[in-house]
This record gives sequence, C-alpha cells and structure tokens, in this order.
Amino acid sequence: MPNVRLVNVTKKFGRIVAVDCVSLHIYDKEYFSLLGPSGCGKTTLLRLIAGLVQPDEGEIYIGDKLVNNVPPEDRDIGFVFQTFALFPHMNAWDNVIYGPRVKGFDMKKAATIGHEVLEMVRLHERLDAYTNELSGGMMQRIAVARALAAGSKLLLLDEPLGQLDAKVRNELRYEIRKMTKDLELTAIHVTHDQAEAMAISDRIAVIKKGKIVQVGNPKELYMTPQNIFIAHFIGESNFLEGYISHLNKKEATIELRGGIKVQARTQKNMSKGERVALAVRPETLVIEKDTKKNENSITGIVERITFEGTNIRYEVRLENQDLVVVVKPSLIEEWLNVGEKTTVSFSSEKTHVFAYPERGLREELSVE
Amino acid sequence: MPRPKVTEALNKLSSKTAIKNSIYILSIIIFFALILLPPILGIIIKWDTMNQVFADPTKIETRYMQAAFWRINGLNTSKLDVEYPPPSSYSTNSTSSANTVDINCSYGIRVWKRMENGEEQEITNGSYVALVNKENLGKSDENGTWNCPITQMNPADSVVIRVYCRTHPNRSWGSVGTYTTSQLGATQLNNSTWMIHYCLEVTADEHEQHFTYYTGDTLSAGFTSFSQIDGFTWTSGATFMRATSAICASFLVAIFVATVDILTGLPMAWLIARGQSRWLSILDTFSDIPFIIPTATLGYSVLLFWSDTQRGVSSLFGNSLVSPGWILVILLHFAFSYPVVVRVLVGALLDYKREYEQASRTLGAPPFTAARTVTFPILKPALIASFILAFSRSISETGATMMVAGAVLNGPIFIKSYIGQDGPLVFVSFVLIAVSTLIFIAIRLLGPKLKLPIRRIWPSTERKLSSSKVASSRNGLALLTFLALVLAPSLFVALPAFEAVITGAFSEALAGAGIWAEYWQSIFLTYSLGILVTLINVVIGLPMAIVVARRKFGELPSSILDVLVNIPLVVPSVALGVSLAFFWKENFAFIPEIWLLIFAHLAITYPYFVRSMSAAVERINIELEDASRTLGAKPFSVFRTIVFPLTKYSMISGAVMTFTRSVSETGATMVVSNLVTAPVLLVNWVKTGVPTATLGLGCGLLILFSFIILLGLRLIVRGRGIY
Repeated sequence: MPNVRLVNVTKKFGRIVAVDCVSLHIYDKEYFSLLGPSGCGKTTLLRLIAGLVQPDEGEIYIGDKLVNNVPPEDRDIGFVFQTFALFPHMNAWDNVIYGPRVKGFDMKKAATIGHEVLEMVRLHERLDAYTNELSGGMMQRIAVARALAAGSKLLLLDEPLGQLDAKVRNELRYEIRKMTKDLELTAIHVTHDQAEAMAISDRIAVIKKGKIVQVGNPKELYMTPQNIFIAHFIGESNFLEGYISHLNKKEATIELRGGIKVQARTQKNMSKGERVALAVRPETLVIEKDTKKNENSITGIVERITFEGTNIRYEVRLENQDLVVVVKPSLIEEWLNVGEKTTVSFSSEKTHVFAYPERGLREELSVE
Repeated sequence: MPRPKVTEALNKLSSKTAIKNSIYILSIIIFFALILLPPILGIIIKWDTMNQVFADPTKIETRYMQAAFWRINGLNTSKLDVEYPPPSSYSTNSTSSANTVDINCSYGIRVWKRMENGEEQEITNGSYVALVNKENLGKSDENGTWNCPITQMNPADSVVIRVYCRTHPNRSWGSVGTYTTSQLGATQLNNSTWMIHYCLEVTADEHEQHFTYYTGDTLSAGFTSFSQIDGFTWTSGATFMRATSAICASFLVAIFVATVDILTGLPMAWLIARGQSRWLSILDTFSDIPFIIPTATLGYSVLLFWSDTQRGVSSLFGNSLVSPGWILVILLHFAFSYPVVVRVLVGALLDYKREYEQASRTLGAPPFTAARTVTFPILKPALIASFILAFSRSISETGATMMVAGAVLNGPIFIKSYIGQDGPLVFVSFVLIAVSTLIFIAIRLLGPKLKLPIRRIWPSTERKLSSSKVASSRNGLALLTFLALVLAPSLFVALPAFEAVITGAFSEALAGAGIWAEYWQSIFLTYSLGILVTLINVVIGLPMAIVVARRKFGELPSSILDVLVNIPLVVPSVALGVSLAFFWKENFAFIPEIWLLIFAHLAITYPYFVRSMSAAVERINIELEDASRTLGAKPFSVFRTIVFPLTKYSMISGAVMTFTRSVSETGATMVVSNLVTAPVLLVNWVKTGVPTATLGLGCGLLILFSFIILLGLRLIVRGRGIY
C-alpha cells in the first residue's frame, strides 16, 4: 500500500541545498500537503518522491519498498504538473489514455480505463480538442484524469491549482480531495497557498529553506504553532517584542516595549529575562472603544481601517508605538473610526510566546 | 547628457509612419529585385534553349576558328565555336638560305581530345592531316579534307585542333594556332569527312616574285581565324538522360544524407544537451568546427583522409580505402551537414520543456518510449528544420563534391561540365530550383500534418531499448560516428599543413612565391567579398526581418514572405548561379564581374541573416516594445534600446553564418564569374594536381583565418554561444 517514507533525504543543486536532511512519513490513503514559500524545496521533494530527481543522500520508500534506484516509470505514481504538461501533439482523449497505452494495454482496455477516469473527473465533452484549445479548468481535469488513468494509488500533485482562477481553484480543491477519498488514494499535494493546504489536507508539512518546520493536521498547525515561522505562515499573527519579567509554571509575565506588562502562556524551557516575541492572532484580539484598564489590555489609536467584505481589519497603534492588526466580522460589530481611542485586549490562553529569533524577527518570518 | 544629433534626427524620422513603411517596402522591393526575381527571370529568358536538351543527338556543325580566348579543361586557347569569328591571324617566319627559292608552304592540322584533367589523346596519331599547299604569295583560300574516325568521348572532353605550317618541305612544322571546343557533352565523334577551309596569306618582305623569293628575305606564312571546319559531326551524349540522372543523383544523395544525419545526429545532440559531464561542452564546441571550415577545404581533407595512400586511413591498408565516387561523396556530404543538424537539434533540446517527458515517465513510459512518443513529436519542427538544412546543404554543395566525385555526375557537377551550353544548364538549373522549392514548400505545408508513428507501443522491446546498457552503447556509437566520420576527416588536412610548415613550403607561401601569389589574391578576394556581402545583407535584411517577424503587412503577406525568404536556402547555389548569370549578363552586360559575384553571394546568403534575425525579433515580447513606447521612446529609440540589445547575439550569429557561407561558396562563384575565390582556387589546385603539402597548407591557412575571425567574434560576444 502506498505509504511514503523519506529518511534523511538531501538534495543539492550545486551549492544550493534544495532539500536538507528531510525525514517524513506519509500514511496510506492520507491527503498530505507540502506547504511552504516558493523556492523552499517542496517541489524538489515531490520530484524526489516521483523519481524525477535523484537524492544525494537518504532513502525513499514507497509502499515499504526502497525506490532510490527505481526509475519514475516503475514507481507506480500519478503526477500532476503545475503547468499540467499535457502533450501538445495529442488531443485530450489521447492524453488521458497515454498511461494505459504505454503500459502495453490494448486499445479496448485503455478506452475502458479512459472512460472510467473521465467519469471521475466529470468531463465528457471536447475530448477531441487539442490541449491549447482547452480552458484552464479543463486542462486541470484532463491532467488529473491522465494521472489517475495510469492506475496508481499514489497521486503526486505539484501546485495543481496554481494556474487557475480563484473561483475555479476553490471549487476544484474540494473536488480533488473528494475524489482521492472516494478512490482511497494517497495524495501528496505541493502548494504555497496556506489556505488551500488548510482546506484540503489531512496533514501538512510546512517547509522552509529545504527543512521541515512542522508536521501536523491543519488544526494543530493553527492552534499550536511550534515555531514563530508557523505562527506567521499559517493564519496571521501579531508579534509583540518583550522579555520575560516573571515566570510561573505555565504562565509568565512579559514586559513589552514601553514597560507594558502582560500575562502569556509560555513554552517549556524558557527562562526569566529571556527575550521573546509574543504572538497573538488578529481574530482573537478584542477591540473596544475608549480606554479601559483590564488584564492584558493595551490602549491605542485606530490608524487605518480596511473593509475586506466578510471582515473588517483595524490597524491599531498601541501606546508603546507597536502596531497590531485586529480582524473582526464586519456584519456583527459596531465599527470604529480612524483616530478613535481604543483598548485592545487578549486572553493569555490564546497567546504563544517564542524565543526571540537570533537572526531577527523580519529575517525569521521572511518567506523569500 | 544630451543625446547625439544623429539619434535625435533618426528618432524624428522614425516617428513618421510614412518613412518607416517606405523603409519596409524598400527592403521588400530589394528582396524581389535583387534576390528572388533575377534567377527566375534568368531561366525565363533562356527558356527556349532548353530544346537543345531534347534535340536530335547527332550534330553536324560548322566550327569557326575564333580569335577569342577561353579556358576549357585547363587549356587557355582560342575558341572553336559554332559562331562566325572576328578576324585574327597567325604567322610563322622563315629565312631562306638559297639564292632564290620556290614558294612551297604546306598547312595541316592535328586533332586531340582533351579530358577534364587536362590530359590529351591525339586522334590523328602524330600525322598532319587535311594538308594543303600554297605555292604563291598573297591571300588565298585552300580546302583540305580529313576523314575523322569514330572516337569515343566523355561529355566533359573537348576537342582540340592545332593548325601547323611549314614554309618548305625541307623545314619542320610549326604551330600557327590552337583551337578548342567547349566540353562538348559528346559520347563520340562520328565517322565523317571534315572539310577544313584555310584562309591563308603568304608574304615576303622584299625582293618578292610571285612564286619565289630571295635568300635573306623573311617569308611569312599566315593563317587567319576566318578559317573553318565543315562537317564537324558528333553525337551529343543523350543530354536529357544524363541531366535527369545527375539531378536524381543530387536528390538521392541529399535525402539519404539528411536522413542519416538525423538518425545519427539525434543521439549526439541528446548526449550534448542532456549529458552531465563537463567535457561535453568541449564536444559541443568541437561539433561546430566542421561548420566553419569552408567546404572546399573540407572536401580536400575528406579526400586525403579516406583516399590518400600516403597519409590517410588508406595508408594503413596500403591502398585507397574509399576511392573517389559515390561513397566518398556521401561521406563528404555527411561530414559537412552533420554539424548543422546537431546544432539545430541541440538548440531544440535545450529549449524543450522537459516536463512533457517527465510526465510521460510518471505515466509509466520508459525513457525510450517517452522520447519516441512525446519528445520527438513535440520537437518535430526542429527535426524538419534540420532535415531541410541538411538537405539543402547537400544539394547545393559543388566545390568539395567535385574534388571527391570521381566519375559521379550530380547536378552541380553536370552544370559545371556543361558550361557554355545554355540548353542543358537551363534545364538542370530549372529542375533543381523547381524541385527543391517544391520539396521545401511541401515540407512547410505538410510538415505540421505529418504524424510520427506513436500509436503503437511495444512495451517489452522499448523497455529493453531504454536500458542503460543500450543508452551507453548508443552514446558510444554517436561519439564514434562523430569522431571517425566527421571530426577526424574534417581536420585531417592539418597533417599535410604541418608537413608543409616543416618542409619550408610555409616560407614560400608567406613570400607569395609561385602559385602562392594567386592564393593570396584569392584569399583577399574571398574575405573582402564575405565582409561586403555580410554588410549589405545586414542592411537590406534587417527591415525585412522585422516585416516578417512583426507581421507588418498583415498575416498572410508576411507568412508568404517568410516562405519566399527561405527559398534561396534550399535552392542549389550552382543552379542559382547559372540563372543569375543569364539574367545579369544578358540584360546588364555592362555590370562588372565583381558585382555579379556580389549579387550571387547576396542571393545565396540572404536567408541566413533574415532567418536568425526574424526568429530573434519574434522571441521579443511585444510588450517590451510597448512599455518602451509608453515611457516615451520614439520608434528608432525602441529599436536602439530594446530590440537591438535583445537581438544582438542573433544578429551576430546571423552575420557569422552569412559570412561563413559566403567564404565557403564555390558552385555559383564558378558559374558566375572567372574571378577566383579561395575555395575555387583550391578546387582548381586539386584538379591540376598541385602537391599535397602545398594544398594542405593552402587549406590549413584558410581554416586558420576562419578560426581567427570566429574566435574574434566569440571574444566580442564574450563566450556566449552564437549559433
């Protein structure tokens, strides 16, 4: 069964380390996403699994079989390329049945398989069209159908939705997930879009600069980011700089810039006096008119308001000159105005405290 | 910084649409007037002469002894032609020793056939025939007859007649004139009686009587070129059959060579484009070498490599391994067309999006199947382009082929051997031009519809073919083919060149002694011609390239122009030369020969620059130009600041191709003019048996100059690939 295991896999292109000693286990029938900023090595990782590039070190197992020296055609995979790579010299139908044909099936059998997979992607018209005559959505379906027709239980998708319009993208992402679940496939999906990864995946591996930062299901990544990068990259976070002035077992008092003291949940092995960054998600912040003094509340002035449709987004300049973003549902809240004095507060439960990164906050959060 | 005035002025001019368009239209007019129409018109004005090809093979002619000189089969002498001659006279002087002497002069002829290599065989077996006597002073016409025996001829043979005279039976014979026919294209001289009509005049300077003269006087026995031969009877060598078989030979060789080029060039291109190893870039450079060597040089090199019993591969076996003939022609054509194919295919493979192939692999296709069913069909345009290039190179080549052809007769050699007879020339040129153009247009139209056979799959066989063992033996074979059949034969001429350096022929060459004077002249002519032609091509080709690439006058006219521009590429240059010569010499006889040569080279090289330039312009995103316009650039500035920098390399590469093609050109050059360029000189040297060391040095120097020029250009573009 197609579970996929990577053990200490490294791939270098010249001096650039694209994949840096990655170990990963993707379970059978799982929808797994490799998420990361562009250039992080996620596509290389997928190509390593497919056998399109060879690892410099480490082992790759597909279905418990070591496949390091197995060429791509013998790895029994389906691969959907970012550009779809539909063969321009064949029509849609010939593209779909290419897999069965090169495996030596006769025309009849190939046609049967072709009809089956087209049924799955719900595409029946325009099969005699050449690929340059198809819409993006149709090309995507043909690409998926072609990969499925090869008969593999392991589907590798390299940014399969990246070339599509936003609306089509949102529709197709659920379709793909449903299909893989119906067919009991293992899917490995590469994307740089965290919303897409969150929506579609059973589990996600977040990758940065060739290394896996955190693996977990979408909820874990959002609720308990183990790392300042995850807190920033999955969802959105405000970061307030400070140091630990007092340390309890689970909670600490953190002194922010300007001497503001707040309570926050700390991670293990943090010590008093350590420089930290306090992460709070914009949607967990409470914003109120006027200045009130509660626990974990800081006064500020609304500096900018962005109406985003569903949400309204406030940028508030705090009394210590830090800037925080607060996001509220636009329909149920009373709106504030620019220049209005406010109080921003949060519960210590919903904070994450990270050691202040050595290379600086900006560098650590950079997605480039 | 103030902009230079010139730029300012050009900017002003370029923003006027009328001026821009008139430049474009001018370039199109020049193309038609100078490149496309002259060869077509040349054939049309000589159309009638084609009857000669189909005419009655037995010819009974009157041949006139003319004063005009020509050079046939290496012999510089007077014409023996079917036209009426302008007058001229020859005479011998004789001083008598007796007191008074009777005038008793005799005249006679001897007849030879002269072969292409200059060797002569006497038909009259050393005797003077058609004898006449003249026993008085003054002018008179005398007739003598000779019974010509049946004599077998080669079509390239000419008939040489020498007229002799003796002033007294006691004195010896002296020659008073040598006359030759063109290469007759005859299979035999028929058994017939020739009537030689001598126009004679005998004078004595003093004391002359009518029939005697005195001791101490000078007696001049004259003979004038009004003389003629009646009943000159021969069988023309079934010109039509010979012409068609020559044409077929050309096309068969071209198709065969181009096919083999693709079959062997593809693995090599694959190896260069896909290989990981570092030395492949060296290989890449090496594969360019035969590309820049003038083909005549290459021809000699190939000839030495395969046939020279002292130096080449043949020396290992003690006799000629491949003697001049079919196989050597094919080996030669393979050697010079292979690099073109590899170059085009490497470029295509590097541009190719490998994702298609990877997709095929992930769908279960082993490498061989992936290449066969996905990569090759997608690269089909490049395969077709390289086929056309190889085909046209093979069908055009004249000089080198002449060196290695032996008895083989193909189109260009036919044309060369029939020079002077308009009919066969027009016929062969017309067929070569028409068929090449048709083949080219057919490939252009049908190429996109042609399907490679990808429906059938043989999984187990193809899997075996994909194994690394097969792959490495394929690579080895490709390398071996390249080294043994292309590189080594191409560079082999270096060996005698070094020999020459050691033996001291080198200093002779530098001093310009003997035949070297002619060599240096020809080198000067070749390179100045090359530079001039390249410059003119750049000027007239640039607007044309933009017209074609940017569809300036609508979609259809531009694509028609695109096809027309390419036609000179596929037309055999020697055929082009023939029709150009007809056109210019008939209509514009006042044009000096050097200009004919320039026109011919222009017509042949025109496509190279326009093609590479228009492809480069097409690659530029039009939005870049638009962006530049929105930022305030006038059209000329757009060209200067956007188009030119982005197409610089293609421009240089197009210019280099134009230049190398002009330097290599032999066929048309030979036909159009008597000016001797370096490749023509080398062909002449081979034909006249100049020693190997000298020839080797001549070739070596030519290669060296080409290298230096190319190296210079490479330095200018700083190591960027320029083809």
